[in-house]
Amino acid sequence: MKGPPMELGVMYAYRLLALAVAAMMLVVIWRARNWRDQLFATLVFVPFVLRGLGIK
Amino acid sequence: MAVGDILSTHRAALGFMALGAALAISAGAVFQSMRQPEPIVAGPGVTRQSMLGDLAPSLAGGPGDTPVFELVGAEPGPTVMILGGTHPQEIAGMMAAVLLVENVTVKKGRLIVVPQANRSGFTHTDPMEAYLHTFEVPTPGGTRWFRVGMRLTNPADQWPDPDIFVHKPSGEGMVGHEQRNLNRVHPGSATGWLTSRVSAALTGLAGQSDVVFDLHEAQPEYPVINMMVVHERAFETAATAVGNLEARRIPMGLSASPKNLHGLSHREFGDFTKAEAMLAESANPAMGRFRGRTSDDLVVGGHDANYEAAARLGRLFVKFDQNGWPLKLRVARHVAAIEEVINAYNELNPDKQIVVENIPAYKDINDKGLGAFLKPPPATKS
Repeated sequence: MKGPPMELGVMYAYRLLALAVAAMMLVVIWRARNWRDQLFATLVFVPFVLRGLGIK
Repeated sequence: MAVGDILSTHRAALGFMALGAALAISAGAVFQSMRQPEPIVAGPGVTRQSMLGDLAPSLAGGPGDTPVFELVGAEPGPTVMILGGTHPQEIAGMMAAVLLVENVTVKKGRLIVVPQANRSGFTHTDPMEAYLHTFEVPTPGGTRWFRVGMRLTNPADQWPDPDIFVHKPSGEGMVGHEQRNLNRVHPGSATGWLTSRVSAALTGLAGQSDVVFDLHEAQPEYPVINMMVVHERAFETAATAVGNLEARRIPMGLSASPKNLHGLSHREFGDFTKAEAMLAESANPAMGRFRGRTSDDLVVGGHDANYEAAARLGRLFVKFDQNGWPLKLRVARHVAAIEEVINAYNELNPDKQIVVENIPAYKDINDKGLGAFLKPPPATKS
């Protein structure tokens, strides 16, 4: 078989969504005006960026 | 807005972004390091070393690609395939396969050994289980290291899981994460998810084989333990092997592969290829629910006080005392089972003989340890 199977498209769509969540967390960190929101957004950012990049 | 203004008004935000980046980079480095494969040294009997991706191009160079060792004799004969690492936390199966690769020679026939059938599963561990990432085995030439993986394909390589995984072609429904369980997706599909494509490639190898033997482990409280599970066409060979093992005082049970339990190697390789398909389980306390801390002493030594207590209460399907179930004993059992399956096949097929020499002896593995049968570690890049 040549080329990636169709199912890979689902996985890459999922990774793009994870990267979108990570990007949104950066926006939250930038716009938030209290440190708690910024900390929580940071903690959400880490696993989502790792999953979005296919590392974890 | 000037850079100075941004720095002053968003100082905290920049600090948290830097923290997030630092956490992601440091955690990412740990996860990436888990993808470094441990060395498996081809012994003198290996005539060809290739990758599964050579058979299935969609796997080539990817997370499912895994080494395939062939040991071909000078004279033609039947082919026996040994699978280790179908479930990467069941390390005795992988180690038994490694011992074959590094020690045995084939005079007649052909041996195919895949020590890490689900290579992706070796690149992560079970969340919340506090497993070791690696364990070490001392050898006369230095210390060898091996990975402890997880039962399922790494979710970084195959995701998302469905709510219900429907096995093809049987239509049997299973919990969604079983879609990443190599021993639930056989015979696989060349156009499916990663685990299914690995399975399809292995099914292709099984199609070239007369016997397929898949090596596993299970927790001591699991009833299918120290047992061979076999397809109906393999029953005569397996029963003869079990009889020979019992005669050697190596207790081994025998169970028929259920016809309505799909996706497992002993069922699907038997149904979809001409191979006699069988699977063996040994007792691994590091996988069990009763265990204490998952330490080196438990993973390699096989000792656990909780399991000794559970045995006293009659909760286990194997004996468990202060000697535990060390890795070398579990590997020795698998190697002895392989030896007896080959002997049984030869006994029942006098016109189709496979002759395999230098199989490490059961007693020697137990007396001398695994390190005595492993090659020195290859030189590492400096």
